[in-house]
Amino acid sequence: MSETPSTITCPRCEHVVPATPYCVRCGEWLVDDLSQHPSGRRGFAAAPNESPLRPNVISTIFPQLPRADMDSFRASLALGAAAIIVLALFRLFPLGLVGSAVLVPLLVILYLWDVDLYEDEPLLVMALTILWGIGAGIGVGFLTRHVVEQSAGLAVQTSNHTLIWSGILIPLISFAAMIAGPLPLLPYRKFNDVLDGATFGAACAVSFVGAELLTHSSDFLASGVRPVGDTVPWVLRLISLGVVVPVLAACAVGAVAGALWLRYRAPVRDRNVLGPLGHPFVAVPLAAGLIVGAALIQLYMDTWLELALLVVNALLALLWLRLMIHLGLLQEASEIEIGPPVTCTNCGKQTPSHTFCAFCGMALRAQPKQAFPPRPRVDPKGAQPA
Amino acid sequence: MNAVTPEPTTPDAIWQKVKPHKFIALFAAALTIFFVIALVVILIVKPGPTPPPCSPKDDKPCGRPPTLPAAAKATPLVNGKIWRSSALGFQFEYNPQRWKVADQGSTGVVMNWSIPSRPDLDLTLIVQGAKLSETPPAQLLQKQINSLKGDVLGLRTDPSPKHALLGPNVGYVDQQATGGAYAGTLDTPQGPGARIALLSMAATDGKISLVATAATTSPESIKLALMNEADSVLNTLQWPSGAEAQAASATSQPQALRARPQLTSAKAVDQYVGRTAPSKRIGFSLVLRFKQAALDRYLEELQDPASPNYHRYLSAREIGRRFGISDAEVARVKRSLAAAGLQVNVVYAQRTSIRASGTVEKISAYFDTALGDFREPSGRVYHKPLRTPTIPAAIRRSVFGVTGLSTRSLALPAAVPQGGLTPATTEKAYNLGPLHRAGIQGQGQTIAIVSFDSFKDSDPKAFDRKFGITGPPVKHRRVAGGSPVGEGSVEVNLDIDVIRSVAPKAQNIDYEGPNGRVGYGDMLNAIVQDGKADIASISWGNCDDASNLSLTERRNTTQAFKAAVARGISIFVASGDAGAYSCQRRFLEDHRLTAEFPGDSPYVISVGGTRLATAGDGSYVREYGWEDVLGNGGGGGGLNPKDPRPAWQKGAGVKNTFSNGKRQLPDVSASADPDSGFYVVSGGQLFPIGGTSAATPFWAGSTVLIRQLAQKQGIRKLGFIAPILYQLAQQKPSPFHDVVAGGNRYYDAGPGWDYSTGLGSPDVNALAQAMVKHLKR
Repeated sequence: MSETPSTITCPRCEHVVPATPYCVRCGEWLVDDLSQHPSGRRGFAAAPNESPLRPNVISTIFPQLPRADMDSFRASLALGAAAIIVLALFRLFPLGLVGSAVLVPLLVILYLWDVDLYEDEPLLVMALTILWGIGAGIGVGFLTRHVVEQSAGLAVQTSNHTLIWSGILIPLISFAAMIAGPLPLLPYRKFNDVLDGATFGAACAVSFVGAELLTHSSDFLASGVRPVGDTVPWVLRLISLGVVVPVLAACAVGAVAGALWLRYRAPVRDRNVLGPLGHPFVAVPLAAGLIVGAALIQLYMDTWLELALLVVNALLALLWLRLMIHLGLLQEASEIEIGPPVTCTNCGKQTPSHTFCAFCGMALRAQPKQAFPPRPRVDPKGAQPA
Repeated sequence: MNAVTPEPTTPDAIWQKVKPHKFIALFAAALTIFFVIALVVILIVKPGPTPPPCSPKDDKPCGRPPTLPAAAKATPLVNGKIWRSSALGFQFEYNPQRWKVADQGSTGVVMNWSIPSRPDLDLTLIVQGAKLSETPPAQLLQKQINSLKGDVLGLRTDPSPKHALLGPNVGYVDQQATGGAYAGTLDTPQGPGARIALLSMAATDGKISLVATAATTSPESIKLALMNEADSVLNTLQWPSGAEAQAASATSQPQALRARPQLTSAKAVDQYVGRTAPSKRIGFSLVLRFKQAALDRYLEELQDPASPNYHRYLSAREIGRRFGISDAEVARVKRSLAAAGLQVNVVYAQRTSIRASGTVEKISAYFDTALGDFREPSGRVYHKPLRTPTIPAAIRRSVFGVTGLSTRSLALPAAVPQGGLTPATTEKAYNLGPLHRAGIQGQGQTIAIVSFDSFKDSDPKAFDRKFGITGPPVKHRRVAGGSPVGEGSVEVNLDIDVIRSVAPKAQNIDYEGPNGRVGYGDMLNAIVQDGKADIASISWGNCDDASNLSLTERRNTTQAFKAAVARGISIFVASGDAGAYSCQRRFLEDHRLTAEFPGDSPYVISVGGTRLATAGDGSYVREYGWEDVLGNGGGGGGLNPKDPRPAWQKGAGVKNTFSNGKRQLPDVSASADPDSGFYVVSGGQLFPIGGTSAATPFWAGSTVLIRQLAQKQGIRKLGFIAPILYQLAQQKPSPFHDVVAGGNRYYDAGPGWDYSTGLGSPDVNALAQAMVKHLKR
């Protein structure tokens, strides 16, 4: 065990903290030379080597992933996307579609399992989260099959029916179904971190998107192993469906869930840290707008432009969720005492037990819970019931 | 402010539940499991092969033509609604009960088809125009396809020859015509949905370009029938220049206006099941040798006014005695069969063949062969010889060959349900009225219908009741045990009802044989021997291809037909419903120009198809050669692959750029497009049916009236009327409606004889008067 270092007054939170590279209370970089900081400035709370504004998919939708596992997940995502592309290039579109539907949900399940996110009742919580998403996705998938025109008439966009249902109402219903997944967990004190809300929301969203896609497209699965079709549009579409859309849904729903958690579970003084973006009255319409916007892009744009605009849309949602996580992890920093040293799962060093690792700056809440003993939780005084 | 230097990292302390390579392997394994499960599901639920219109089923004839659900067959296209382009001036007619305008502009329209009873079926038709100077047809077509790419994921040319578009045209105009089949997947924000099939074609009249695209997500099994609905609209299209009416060349020779399509002939392979059970009893026919040269000479003399045998028709017994084998030879054959343990069932009086039966074991021994069972792709099981049967030496001098050992389905019904002519409108359109009003309604006349199925007596009775017909009930004549009422009964009812529409008081005899077990020759032999009818109607056929028709079967049929001609029987046979591509009915990917057997025989009157347009009062206006390009439909026509063109087939248009010395078909035509088909009662339901199998009984029934008129004026027999028809077509005015527009997906209709409509359709009263006058000379 490392010897406890001398103390220093953090210039940001103004607490006396151990003189380590990072403030254990607020994660501030305490070294004079800013150029030594991995990201050149204050790092993302869940991955201090990255800027909070860096659009990293893995560290954002899997914030509790140990740094050592990031590459594995990144490689897996790339491998899955490559598999989808190869399948599409060989005109195995139905298989590619299945790959698109399961790729991100599978990673989320592996993530939840890998980091033992909910150590007390992992199976129940995970099952509820994922199953709600799957069930709602199947339900909405059947609804879309019923109300969204499946006839050849759709090909020429002959009516407002398509715009209203496929472009607006179904996306709104989908959004409502996705956000409804984590809401029942909001009153539980056990899950009162913003990170909890964001994780529940993201997990529910990706399960929903995958299940809805498979249900809605089940007719297509009956069109044979290698149906007729141009490969390039299919590659682009499968990447949209397999990566961009799930990421967008995970981020938008995760951000809204985070906003709800921030509003109703965080200490009163932290509720406005994200400004209007953290307020449900702004966050809910904004997320719904992102989801509807994505639907309209898919409805009216083609191939490259469609993919490009979807990526932009997804990036906006990603940055929003990232900020939500970052600020969520910074909350409640000053409310607890510095505890006994623990081993940081990210850098492997002994760090005083508080909010951030003293040596890598990672939020200790964003560490696998099995590896890191539960820390005392802050009583969210003033928190309102969900 | 300076923080202390961090201590070195302890790699082992970095928490990792699973090592990276294991994690990636775990992920890959999980993903692979999903793919394997998905693959299994996809293979289980994958669609079957595209069913051709005549795919055989069970032990029935080779399937049914494209059929819409009953509710969709209710109304013929009469007095449709007009849609007109305000900017370009083209217009077409549509049935507002089925079609709704979904979107429209000054140069084009999008229409959706639906019927309430089948919400699962859909069809969209897009017709778009542009000035030719701005957009030629090919460019307009590409523009339309490109515009659909946003919503049809992966839209591209459908490479399957089964879905190819043959003979593209728009509203019968094929100038600079181009088109093709496309496929893709409907895409929505929620994900890819149903597969969508598109057929698109464009053409110009020299002033504007038009592109028409029909699209459906409905199952393959009903796609062709749905596409017929789009054809129904497109075939009413009127170009601003009136080009559809002038589509045929002004020259007297048909011109090759379309590029010959790619030749392909991939065919499904039947699966060997095993040896046929030795104890199974089967029937067969021995095709007896004939004095062919003498018979051919006699048939020519029958048509030669200078010959003493001119119109001197023979009885079945006389035919047998003059041209068949001797009594002693017949006896020898019978003894040989009996010695082998085989039973002689019928020795036809005209000595064209002997019908016999026995167990597979004894038949195999007699013909030194073995029989095996095979399963067609549709699942139907049939038997056929595993090696060529050998005729025993003792009877080889008398017997040419054996037929019936293969029960591979041979005859196809040819009917396409849709539009509708009632007995009254038929009378009006083809001018039967003067004959009917003169009491010429078929009284005392007998007509033979050849059927490889049967009918319920209640159906013709219901038809009679519906239209107030009081003719004699239809008789069943069972050949080789007859046939149960099966899927082909619609065809039988069509033949009966059309004849009753035209000649309501004639006696119809339905010759019913089991499909696959007897051939056309066996059926005709029975008609010739019975000697009751000298007009016969055959609305069955199959592609004339060596793989489909053995030499012996062809010989058996031809011999029987020759005997029928010598007997003075006029046999009307449907020329087929797949246009110039008869074999496409069995194999959608078969794009060879092929004819329909036995409609291409020189010893029959081959009946092609038209689309009839009538005025508001039902009177005749115009006909087009029947071609439904999107639905693969059209009146059969082309060249017989083997038989030479008979001497009597001559006249304007007969000798043309396609002529090769072989028999050309059809000889005549009548309404056959499903949009102007005939009303029929089948299975207790009244609905209209098209196809050349409707045109054929119409011609046979009309000939019954002509025969009755002739008899009334002292002419004993019409005989084989094909030569007379060609002579009458040269008269001015002609008793034929010369069809000069439309085509059959390859050949255009044109002035004089053509491969689409032959001599044309009849003004029946005019034809009757002209023929009687001709015969009285």
